[in-house]
Amino acid sequence: MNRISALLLACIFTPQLLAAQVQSPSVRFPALVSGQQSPVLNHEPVFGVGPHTTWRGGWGMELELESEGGELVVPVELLYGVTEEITVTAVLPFREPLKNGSLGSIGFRVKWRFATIFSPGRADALAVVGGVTVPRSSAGTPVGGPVITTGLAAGRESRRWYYFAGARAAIQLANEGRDPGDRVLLNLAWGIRPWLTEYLSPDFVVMVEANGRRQGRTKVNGQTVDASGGEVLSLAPAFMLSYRNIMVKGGVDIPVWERWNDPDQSPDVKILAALEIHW
Amino acid sequence: MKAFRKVVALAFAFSLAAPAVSGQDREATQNDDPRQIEVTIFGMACPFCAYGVEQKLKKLEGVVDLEVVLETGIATLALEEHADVSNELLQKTVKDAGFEVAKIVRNFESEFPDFEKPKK
Repeated sequence: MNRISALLLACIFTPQLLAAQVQSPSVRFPALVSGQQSPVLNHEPVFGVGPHTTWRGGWGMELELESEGGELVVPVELLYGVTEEITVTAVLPFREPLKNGSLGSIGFRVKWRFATIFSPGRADALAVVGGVTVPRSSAGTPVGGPVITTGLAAGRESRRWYYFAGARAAIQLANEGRDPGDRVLLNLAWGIRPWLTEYLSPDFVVMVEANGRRQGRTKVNGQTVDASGGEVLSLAPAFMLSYRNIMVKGGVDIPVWERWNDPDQSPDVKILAALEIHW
Repeated sequence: MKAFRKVVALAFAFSLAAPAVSGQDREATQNDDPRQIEVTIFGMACPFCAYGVEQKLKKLEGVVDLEVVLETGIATLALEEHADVSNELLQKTVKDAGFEVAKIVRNFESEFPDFEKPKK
């Protein structure tokens, strides 16, 4: 088990060390600023959203490492199963913890799995998601008003296959005359468990995700900023490796098509790795 | 002749006694078997999800051990001597874990009948 633990820790910290070598000269407004925290839970899309909830009275903690455009963000998530259908999550992200770190966009999310169909070795589910994020810039200062996220997630989880689809809208409230524009997020994911293992064996799942994002134009004092907003489509290979209640997962989200009005704000490759523990 | 009669009588007595002894052995073996309840669970697809089922079922009073087999979707509860868990409690516990009970079978005499989810 010690060897397995060492391997898992290596998987987690290698991307962090790699990301720490990359310096970003520009001040960026990464996904977190606009309320696009990855609501990753259990066997769900790493960059998208799924309908999974944890059990009643169950706790979970997740340490994520997100790197986009050279900036490293480490969100710490604490989740709790209010019921088996409702999971609440608090997110406390830290930016650049290895340098002069600052607190990122604090968030609170709720997921309600309102419909399920269970069959042998398979669960089909639908859930609504909602959340509030208080956005902060890379310097740790507030940016605009709170971001309210709402959406719908559907998924089929079976012994061999995973299918997910999700849609979310993130609406950022205007603040001091600045309205950053709303955001729409779409995701599709397909996963496979190559080796069907038993309960007390390590479990490995690979996934391919397709993510779409549309960012509305920013308005300042009612005037539309031309160099803002846009659309991007990305593909993300991802993996999940779990042993009982411990999971390591990660992925790379790669933009494959984009039409962005401000080249300085165009999406970058995003790397995510996470360690999740439930109890 | 008397000796022969004694041998026949003894053989007859043994032949009557032998099945009774075997019966007692079988009864004793049955009594020594640990009490088990097999709970077939729908929706349980992965070990990470099954962990919640394990945590919930293990906390039930009288449960001393638990085995989960994902291939069959069956959680087998080993119980203390004379212990039992009602169908209602098993169903609620599995529901709290986020799944659904499809079948409950015991390997011992119980006041609770075996359960099977009605097929639609």
